[in-house]
Amino acid sequence: MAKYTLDVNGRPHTFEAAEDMPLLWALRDLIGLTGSKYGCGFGVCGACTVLVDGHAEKTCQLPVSRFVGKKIITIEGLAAAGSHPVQKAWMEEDVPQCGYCQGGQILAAVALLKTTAKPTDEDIDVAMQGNICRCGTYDRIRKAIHRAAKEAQPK
Amino acid sequence: MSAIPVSRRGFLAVTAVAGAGLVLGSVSRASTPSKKKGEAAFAPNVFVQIDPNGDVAITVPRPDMGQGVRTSLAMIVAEELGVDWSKVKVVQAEGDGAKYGNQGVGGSGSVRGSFEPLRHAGATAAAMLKQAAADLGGGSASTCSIENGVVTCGAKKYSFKDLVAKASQVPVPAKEQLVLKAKADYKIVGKPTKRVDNRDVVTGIAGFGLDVKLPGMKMAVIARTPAFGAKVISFDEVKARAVPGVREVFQVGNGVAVVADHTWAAITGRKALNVKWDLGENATLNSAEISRRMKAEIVAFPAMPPSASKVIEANYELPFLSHAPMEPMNCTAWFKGDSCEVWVPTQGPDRVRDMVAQQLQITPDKVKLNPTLVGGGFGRRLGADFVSECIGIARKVSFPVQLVWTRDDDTQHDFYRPASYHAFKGAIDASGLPVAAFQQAVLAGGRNRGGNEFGGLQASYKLEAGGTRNANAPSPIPTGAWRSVENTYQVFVTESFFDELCAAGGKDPVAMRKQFMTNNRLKATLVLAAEKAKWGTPLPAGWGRGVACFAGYGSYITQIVEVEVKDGLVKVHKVVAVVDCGLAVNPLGVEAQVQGATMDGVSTTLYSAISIDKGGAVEQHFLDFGWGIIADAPKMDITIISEGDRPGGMGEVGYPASVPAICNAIFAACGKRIRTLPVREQLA
Repeated sequence: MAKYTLDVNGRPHTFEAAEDMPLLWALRDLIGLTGSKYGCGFGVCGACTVLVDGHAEKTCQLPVSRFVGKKIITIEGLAAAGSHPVQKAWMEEDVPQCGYCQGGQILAAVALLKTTAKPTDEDIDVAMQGNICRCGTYDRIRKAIHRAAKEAQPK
Repeated sequence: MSAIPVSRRGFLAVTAVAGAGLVLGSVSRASTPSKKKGEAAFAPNVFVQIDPNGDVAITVPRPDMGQGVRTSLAMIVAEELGVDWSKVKVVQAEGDGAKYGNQGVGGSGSVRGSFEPLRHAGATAAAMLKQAAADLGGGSASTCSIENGVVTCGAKKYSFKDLVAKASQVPVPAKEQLVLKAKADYKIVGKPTKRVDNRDVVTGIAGFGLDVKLPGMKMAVIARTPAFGAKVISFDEVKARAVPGVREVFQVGNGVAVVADHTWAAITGRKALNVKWDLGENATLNSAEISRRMKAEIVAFPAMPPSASKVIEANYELPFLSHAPMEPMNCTAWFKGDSCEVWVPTQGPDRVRDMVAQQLQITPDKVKLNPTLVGGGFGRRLGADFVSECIGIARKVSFPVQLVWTRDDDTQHDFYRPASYHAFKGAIDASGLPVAAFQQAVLAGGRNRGGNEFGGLQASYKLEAGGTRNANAPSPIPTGAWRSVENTYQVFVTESFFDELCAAGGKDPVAMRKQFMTNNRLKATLVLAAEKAKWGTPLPAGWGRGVACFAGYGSYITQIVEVEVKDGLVKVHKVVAVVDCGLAVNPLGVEAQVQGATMDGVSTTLYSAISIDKGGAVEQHFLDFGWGIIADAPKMDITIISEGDRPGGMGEVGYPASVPAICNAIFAACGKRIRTLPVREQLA
């Protein structure tokens, strides 16, 4: 057991945890932020994706210690009341079906748009390959990312 | 360990526990009715509640697992009620079949089954509001109309708020007296409508089963049998209990439960158990043996008709499939001695409540069953094995407990779509037209419908001779309903074999389907899809088009797929779908169901399989099971025919024909007939 302080959504959170506890379980069970989802624990589905210093990272395997000193943003902390352009595009395109994976999908899309302002379908397919949607909302995910990219462009 | 902070969601869940009388599952922030103490709401039935301030809450009886019923079912009530849709709050009904009727979600039956009762619920409230307005204004209710939350009687207008007190005194009209709206007058039903839970989902506060947090709640995982039918011999309880945070270790069912302060401690404790298993009688069973057993069930075919000029035989084989919902199985239960409260993502809240009562030997009124949002179902959550396990743990402890299945638990302990083997013998006549198609369908375990001796006719096409003989091969692998159930295999094999007959006779697959198809609504989807897909126009080298059709659940669909086969790999580029679902209550939802089910088709055609070795399932997660990623998703062009007055089912309709359409397209592209799923390396 060790004591950790993490910067999550702009606030410090201090807790004790086993050295090997993945960040996901600290977020969900110790900090109480359940927006990051447990989907597989194998790092293959992306439901647990958060932003770490602006990059999309999976959290179901990497231990808490790897995230000390970094700025972590979960889906709850992305923007107030769903006001981020990607969140708005997601609602506008009516992307969610069951909704379970969508927080991770949205954060992966946010990270993509930071590096690639106008992604092609191919850019999207590459950047989003680690985020599985079992309901098969991929067609609308692509549309929502294009919409968010367009909305973010200066008019 | 420091105290667990109470999150906002946690607070909501606690409120739900403490707030006796609140109609509240922990589904959604938007689902809390705003009824204030001391004021009477207008609630003419269990589905409609209008608060003194005019706020409208609509209770939906069935859970949402992604099929969108929290939106579509509420739309049905809202339409007849005449409310402003943007003002509606949606409330999730507790599990209570006596109160809400059938609450199950399966068989593409939610919208079909709830359509009439929910229309009546809305119309009842509307009739009473109109009567209240008439009573207030001194007119006749028959001259009043209701739209967008406003009741108009001649020159007078009333908001719902004005009418709540009066409407509560109006006698509830008999069902026979209700005048339901004509389709031409619909303002909400039939309009593309976004999901009511979208905002909660995109902000991360939507409440799934695993998001339930209760004061003092512990987390549980179970060490599960490596082979079906295995039994625990021994386990290291001391070592598991030594893991910080582990509280309880005990045997439950065929496994060993570890209960801990948080999920990671429970998972770590489970690893420390070092369970020794007696693998039992299935210890050497594998996929090859199951395949052999299925093939052993094949008998001789009947004679071909005299018109048969060329006989065609083909054998198909399909694997077990896991449901693999994103949210693994889970359940939260709090047993309080003589009563129990349960929070669970389920496809059958009414049945599950009764099951819990039976298991605890208490009456159903002592069980409060809160359905959460469901992170995917696909048939898996028709089962309640995970609820039964959770209750088994909860009754042994004094605190609330949440049972979590890890992903490998979920993949390896499913009720799988049965593996199946299908032998076909058919024929074409001298002019190349199909004349016969006989099938023998053998399921591994499972429950094969019919069991007849070549009795049934081919479902979609009228040929001179044909029929299906059903059989089951012995298998201990648990099986269950998987999105579209028997249609998952039957439509693949019948639509593939019809394509084989067309190819053998040198005939066009669309033209032959038109000629031999018996159902005119299905034929209409075929004709329109062929037009939209530009059937018959040239494609680039290495590309092919395939078609398949399906009628079921009260709906009709044709899918036409364009694929490219290159370097042994298949890329599904485009899917044109035309679906006739009678009345599309929410076209956006119908489209989403076709998109999702078609994507299931892409995954399960190209990649997905559960294989059996040493008596257990081999695969552990989405990737080794073989689930499609975004790069696999085709462009989709979906047309909805909504010319009826009543809705057909839509949850499963998009799946069955998508698989043969892809395989028929692969044949068109490269000449290789896919008879074994998944495709994987077959084209290499």
